[in-house]
Amino acid sequence: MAPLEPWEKVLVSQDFETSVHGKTDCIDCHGGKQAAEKDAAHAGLVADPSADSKACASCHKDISASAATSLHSSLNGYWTALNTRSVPENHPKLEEAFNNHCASCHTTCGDCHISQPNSVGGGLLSGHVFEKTPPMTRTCTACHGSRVGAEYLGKHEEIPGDVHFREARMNCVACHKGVDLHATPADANAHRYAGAEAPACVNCHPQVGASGDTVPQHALHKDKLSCQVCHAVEYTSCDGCHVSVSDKSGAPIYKTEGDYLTFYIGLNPLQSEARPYKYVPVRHVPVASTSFEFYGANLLPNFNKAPTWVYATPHNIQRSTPQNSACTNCHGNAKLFLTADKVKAEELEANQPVIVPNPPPAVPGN
Amino acid sequence: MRRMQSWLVLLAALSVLLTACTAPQPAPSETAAPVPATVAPPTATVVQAPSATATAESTPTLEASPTVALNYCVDCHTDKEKLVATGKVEEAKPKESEGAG
Repeated sequence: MAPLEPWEKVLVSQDFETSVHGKTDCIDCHGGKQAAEKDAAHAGLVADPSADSKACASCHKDISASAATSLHSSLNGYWTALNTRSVPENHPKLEEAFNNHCASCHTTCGDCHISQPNSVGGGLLSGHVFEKTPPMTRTCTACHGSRVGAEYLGKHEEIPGDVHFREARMNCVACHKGVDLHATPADANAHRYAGAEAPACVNCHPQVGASGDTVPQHALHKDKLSCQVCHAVEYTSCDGCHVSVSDKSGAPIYKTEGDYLTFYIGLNPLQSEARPYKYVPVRHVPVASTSFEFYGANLLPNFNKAPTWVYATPHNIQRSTPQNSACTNCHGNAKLFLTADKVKAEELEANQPVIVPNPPPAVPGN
Repeated sequence: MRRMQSWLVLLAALSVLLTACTAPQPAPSETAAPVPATVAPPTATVVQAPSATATAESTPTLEASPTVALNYCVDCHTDKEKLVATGKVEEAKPKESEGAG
């Protein structure tokens, strides 16, 4: 996605002027004042009024209230991970790091419905016209690009994009409904994979595993494997992200040691009634025990309390995959499973909940 | 007879007076003369806020009403040329982060 020119980012279209939101006086939302001279007009300007949820809540009361609970807004997932691996006395330093490096992922109403996110330089989407359904590649995958976007759109060489995109051109909201994006249920408030699957594959594929299903493997594996174990292909894992503040520019920066494609089946670390699977694909996340060393020594003393290979839902679903083409491709094939020999020695303890000690043996007769 | 003469003089004088009071009419022609358009008085409903992009050729026919608000925000932010002229050039920042974000 090419960056927008400075003028292009703030050019308001005629369509906006005639839209519902265009009837509101600019300064009612943005502050500033009516003045011919730019600096005077922009004094006190609020570029993103929706950063204060009250701006939208005056008309969109319910959705504004629920959006504040969503992980897009609360970023609770970060704190769940940080708190698990840290201790309260380290929180002030971690908060400083969080504010420098993580808080920019916080999403306001305007970040999806009016502008591109700041991570790609910002700029109005459609001349300030409010987009009820945000355009996928300019909003969703602008943030979720390096993993989900690349997988879904087929940007990895020789790995096809997700069948839902290739065959049906489905965009993100075809599965991730507005109600799910604008609110997070209380039981999933701390982690996006806690609680029920939303969306769940069976929402659209209810025949899977049901009586009359012509694929016997579905009934055999149902509740033992998540759908992605059989229907996803290689996806991105990352290693060793370290954050700091640049000596040159003073800007917050990060460096990751590497990213690579993997497909490993691990034990489900979040097994529950809603997610009963014994096995799920696992992805290595870029955390290291020294990720926040710039802000202080040993800020993650409980590093081993959470796996570095985590529950994953790769977004490159295929009907036919290498592992589902024959029973022996999984059964008796330890290469596909996250066994201890594939885990770094310093992360063995952390990953005990996901390491597969004994991969399923070969099926007799196959 | 004398009374008759008096009446005739009186009628003649009256007709002179009446003729003097009427405006001269153009001679009737076979084609209808164009009727000059009447200029409608200005009304509040046709008043438009002067645009900041107005050029010298566009002569406003009506004076801006003091009640009409100028919208400098919209005037500027819908004018590409103005935004190009007044926008700050963003310095290309060196990419200091490394690896997948």
